[in-house]
Amino acid sequence: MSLRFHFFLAAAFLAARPYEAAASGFAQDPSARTAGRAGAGFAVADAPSAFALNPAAAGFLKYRQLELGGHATVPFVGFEGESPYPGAGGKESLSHTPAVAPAVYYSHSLSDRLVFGLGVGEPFAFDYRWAEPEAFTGRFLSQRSSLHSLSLTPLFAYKLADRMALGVSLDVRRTTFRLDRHVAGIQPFTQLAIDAAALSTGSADTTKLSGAVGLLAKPSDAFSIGLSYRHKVQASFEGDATLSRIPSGNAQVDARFNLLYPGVLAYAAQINLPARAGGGLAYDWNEWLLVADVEWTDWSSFGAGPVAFEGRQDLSADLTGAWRDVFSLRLGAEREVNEVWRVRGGYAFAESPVTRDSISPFAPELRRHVVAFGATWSFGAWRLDLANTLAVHPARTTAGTSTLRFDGRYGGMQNTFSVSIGCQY
Amino acid sequence: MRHHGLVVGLVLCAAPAAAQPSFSQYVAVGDSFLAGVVSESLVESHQERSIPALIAHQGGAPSFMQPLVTEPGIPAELTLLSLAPTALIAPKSTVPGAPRLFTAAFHNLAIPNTTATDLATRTSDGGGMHDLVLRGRGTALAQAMGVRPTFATVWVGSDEILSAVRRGRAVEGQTLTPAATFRAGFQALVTNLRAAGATVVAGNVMDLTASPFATTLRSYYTDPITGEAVRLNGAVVPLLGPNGPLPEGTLVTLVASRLLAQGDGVPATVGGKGTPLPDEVILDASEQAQIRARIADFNRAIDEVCQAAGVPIVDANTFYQGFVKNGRAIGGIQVTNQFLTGGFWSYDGVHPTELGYAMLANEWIAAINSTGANLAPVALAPYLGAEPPGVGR
Repeated sequence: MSLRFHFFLAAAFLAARPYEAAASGFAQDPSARTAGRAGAGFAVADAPSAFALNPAAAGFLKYRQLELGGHATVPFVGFEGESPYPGAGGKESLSHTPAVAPAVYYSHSLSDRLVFGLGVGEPFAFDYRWAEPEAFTGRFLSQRSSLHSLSLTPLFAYKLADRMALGVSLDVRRTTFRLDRHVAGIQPFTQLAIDAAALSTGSADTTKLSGAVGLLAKPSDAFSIGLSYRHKVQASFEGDATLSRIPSGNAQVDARFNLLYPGVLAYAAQINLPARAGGGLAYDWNEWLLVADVEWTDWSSFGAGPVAFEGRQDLSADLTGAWRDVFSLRLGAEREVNEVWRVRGGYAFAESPVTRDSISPFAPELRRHVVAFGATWSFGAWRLDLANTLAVHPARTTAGTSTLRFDGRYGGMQNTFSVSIGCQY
Repeated sequence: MRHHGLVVGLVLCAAPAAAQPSFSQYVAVGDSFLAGVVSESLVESHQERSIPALIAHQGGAPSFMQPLVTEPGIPAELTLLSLAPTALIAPKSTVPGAPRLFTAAFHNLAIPNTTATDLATRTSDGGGMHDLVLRGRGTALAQAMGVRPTFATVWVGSDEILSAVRRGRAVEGQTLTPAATFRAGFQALVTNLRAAGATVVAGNVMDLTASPFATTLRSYYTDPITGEAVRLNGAVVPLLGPNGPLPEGTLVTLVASRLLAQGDGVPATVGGKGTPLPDEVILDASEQAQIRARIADFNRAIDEVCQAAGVPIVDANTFYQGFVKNGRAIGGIQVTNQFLTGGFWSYDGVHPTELGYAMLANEWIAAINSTGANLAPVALAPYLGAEPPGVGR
């Protein structure tokens, strides 16, 4: 009675403060299980993927367990221009190309108290490809921007007591970055902007070390509490961008632009992937599992200035702009239907980490209301997890404040389908 | 006690909001920058996109009459004939355009090559631009007052500065208007328009010594094709002026282009004639300092007069200083202070392009909105050329 009361008190407290519990950006759910609960699971230790949220979860996993899966995300985000630029009238959208990410997790119980784990996943990723990139009004800012951070996470979790575990993981993070866009030039004879060159940074990557630590306690058989912290990763990129001239149809103009836009240009960029800290509660109530998480993400550290092209300040734009730290709230529930089936669902609210004046085609991150559902089908030592997550992005306008002077209204939704297959042996 | 609180609340509710200005009778008084001169010319295709015309459109003015001039304008508009080996710019035609005949009063009373004093006092200039705009109906100020203006924009002083920049001479009373004379003329314009009941917004003067007219050419010899400095023994080769090699920092105006192409001002060591450039195409450090000091004088006068009259100011000078330093990226399109490839300045190097005027119009609109108006900014896509898909390019 007392525990149930406290759980609902805590859940009610979190639910009543949605605007303090905000935001999530392009963070990814680690597996189909957590995705089916809208990402909630800091206090859940039900599968190897749980330690991607909280390293201590591994401490409660028995035997050897393997989980293989991934997810595919399809964006349905649109953009409608506003004055002064690009102006009203144009409706454009992101390409519906799916972005696919792997999720592989393994846990090995070394003793009654010590568990080893190894995971491969993408805690952060985006791949924004604008449809009709040659005509997209924002093509001088971004036609395609992508960032993938693949994490290899070896970890150890140790049971400090029968009902409490501590987990520590190393995070070997390989981050890749790519930006494709056009460069505009003023055509001297018409005094109008034309597409002078196509710029691509290519796919640059860097590998950095980071880590995570977590604590998971089960004060009773029914009640769990989890805390987790994952450190930020500072990724620096250097490389040679290619600048491919786009013929203007005028030989004199082309000769001038050939001088202005050489074929290769050195560039440097820094992207800081944020730290994340959060806590959650879980409560087993008969055949039900109820979970609630709140997470803080250090989005204000994302981006560290412009993609800087050597000696060409005119080509160097701070595309990331200003981001802010945000909280996100996640609520989930699972029900064991029978020995074979479990179903789950969840809701999450995440405020946009991008300030209104910084939202841009480079990273059109928006407020999201996430509705998720999923199921597990168990057969012997094996199980199959499926989940679908729909993130609805209410329309948001820059209202004439865009620091890149590219104003408009962004909105839409994003659908993610996740699948994983697991076994215990 | 509760009663008193209610009274205070009612008083606060009854406090008037900032009155929204009316554009039912909008007049513009100024010089070539409000007239809409592009590439040296007053011509209807550009006048229709002048700053006052854009403001009138955004403000919903029911009528906005301008002294339109048919193609190719007066004087004939300059055009770019070729870029290589050097830029060749010339009038579109040897025959100028003509004023369109209107009987109605003009709302745009800006006159190219005028002064603040002339706007307040001059009625004719013997067939020049004043006569084209004024049509013998009195001074620009008198005609502006005659339409019973509800709203007015005043931007003057730029042509008075350009008089010195374009002649390469800073001579008090001849190419430079004395500060006190400017102040008196400007004060007459603002005070009378305010007294007529108009909401007035005024602009200050940009430092036009930074315009491409004065900054495109270098004081040293450059390769005509690449624009890079030609070096002898590792050192740049200064051009020649009346007093010998030009010191670093000397400004050489675009008027010198034709002379340099002929070898004048170019030392014999790099293939030139070795003859000096005339003083009229050079602004030395002293002349630059005099001109900038006068710009500061004008802007101080504009500040003080406007502050006393409660008139908001468009700080065009600060806008332009920032623009010279960083340009302005619009949706990734970099607009800069460069001649020909910058997008802001037209072929005369001292007057904006339509894009430049549209950008300036948005600065004006921001200041106008500080008076309680709610004008939408001017859409820039048509002036940039990169329009949204489906609209047509």
